[in-house]
Amino acid sequence: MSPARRREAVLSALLGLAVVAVWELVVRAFAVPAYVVPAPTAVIVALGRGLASGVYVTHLAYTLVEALAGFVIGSLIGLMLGAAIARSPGLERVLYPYVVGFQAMPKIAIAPLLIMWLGFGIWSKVAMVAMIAFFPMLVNVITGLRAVDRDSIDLMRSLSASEWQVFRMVRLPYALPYIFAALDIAIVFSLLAAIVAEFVGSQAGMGHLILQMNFSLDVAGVFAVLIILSVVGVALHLVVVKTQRRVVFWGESNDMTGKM
Amino acid sequence: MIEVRDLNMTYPAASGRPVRALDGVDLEVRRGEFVSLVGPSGCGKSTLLKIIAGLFRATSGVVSIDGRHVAGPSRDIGMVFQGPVLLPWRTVLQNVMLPVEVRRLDEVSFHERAQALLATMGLEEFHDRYPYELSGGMQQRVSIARALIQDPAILLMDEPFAALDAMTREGMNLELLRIWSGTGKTVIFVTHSIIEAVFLSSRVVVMSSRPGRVLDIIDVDLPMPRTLDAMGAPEFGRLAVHIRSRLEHGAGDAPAPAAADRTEARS
Repeated sequence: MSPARRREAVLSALLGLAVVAVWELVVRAFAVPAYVVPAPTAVIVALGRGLASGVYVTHLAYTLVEALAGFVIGSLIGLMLGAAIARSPGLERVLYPYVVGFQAMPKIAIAPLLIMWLGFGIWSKVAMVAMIAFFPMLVNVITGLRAVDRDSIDLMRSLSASEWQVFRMVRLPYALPYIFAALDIAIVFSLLAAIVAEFVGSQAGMGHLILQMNFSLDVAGVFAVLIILSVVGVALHLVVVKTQRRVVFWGESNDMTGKM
Repeated sequence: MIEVRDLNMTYPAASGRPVRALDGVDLEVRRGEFVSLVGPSGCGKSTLLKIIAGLFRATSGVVSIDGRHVAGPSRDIGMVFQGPVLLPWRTVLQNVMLPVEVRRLDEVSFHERAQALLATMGLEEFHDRYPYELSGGMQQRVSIARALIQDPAILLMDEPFAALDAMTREGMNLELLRIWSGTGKTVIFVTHSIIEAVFLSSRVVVMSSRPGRVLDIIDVDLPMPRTLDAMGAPEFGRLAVHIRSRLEHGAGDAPAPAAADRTEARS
């Protein structure tokens, strides 16, 4: 790490500590009630209590299963539909108005319907996550599969390559940076969608836990859950980025990700 | 022998008038010849090359190779593009082996040939490197090895050295001549550079700007094998000046210098 970088890292840590310290001081000085804004120390106590009781484990597992299952299903559908649309401009003109209309619709508004159709269990959440995760993949796959350079296609054609060979050996690898950029966006949205879907109606999960704590005015507990969710979100993002670095090792467009 | 007869190519334009790229092109290339196509940008040189390669279909006219009409890409043709066009996720060796893989040929038997080709190109130590670890000249050598892997009788090269610096380019020209004289392949070579065309070719085809027509075909009677010293020969200069004047004055009204006139009379 260069001296400048180290100084910036130290500054960043100091900024966080300063905000927490001011927060603690303000809460104590003005005697802010804990059910409005809890002091950071109270949040840490709640976090410790929650971790010790093991209450997060089952709820987090529930939410992660919803988020990851929806993420995989939504991304796969986006990948396949995107590949079909990228191949056929005709299909694009037929389908795209509906795809855009679907995307423009605030999908959280369907959540009550999904619960009616699929119940309070895991599947209504998986469906919600899949609908949210689908779109970034669709758009990026179409862009990525079309971004392949003309000469590579000419090269493959000069070798009498079949369309499937062109797809597998050239188009898909060229689209990988775009696909990973979509995965990176989708993974963070998936967690968000799972939580929001749980708010609408659920029996377990981190969103469920937040609602419960809210009802019992355990605001420090809510803050503790938020900390855990943000740590999990960053971890999922890092998993995608690290996987991308490994898969797209030739380094093209690595800068397309890395920002959430 | 490659025969091009009355070839016309018109591109349907996205907007406005369709673009005429080639207008009545006639050309014969004998087996083992090295023929260069020179002409201004957009004169349809690359289009002509891609039609010969079977990548484009001409609007009208015929291309035949050894008497058979070209209807699509063929194993007898190796193509080298303006850029190296290497797949960045494949190693040098895997890139050279791409044609073998795509055509589902026996990879084991071609493996040795690929290694030998890389050795000829001075790249044997780089077979397991990735393209981004190579210089531009090395990348283009890999793409030539890829074009040669199936031992095609014909090599079509579309401004293959245009992106290289002058020094690398001269080295590549010498290497190409060495490969050509060692293998007896038929080469059609598109270039912007008159010097390069004269240095490499047995004949130079001068084309006019859009629509592309054959203005002149000039024999290059410089002795083979050629070295860089050939560029200093008076005949070399005369040929280069003649080709330049043909390019500048367009369709056939150029006052040709005497030496080049004799060349034309002979052909």
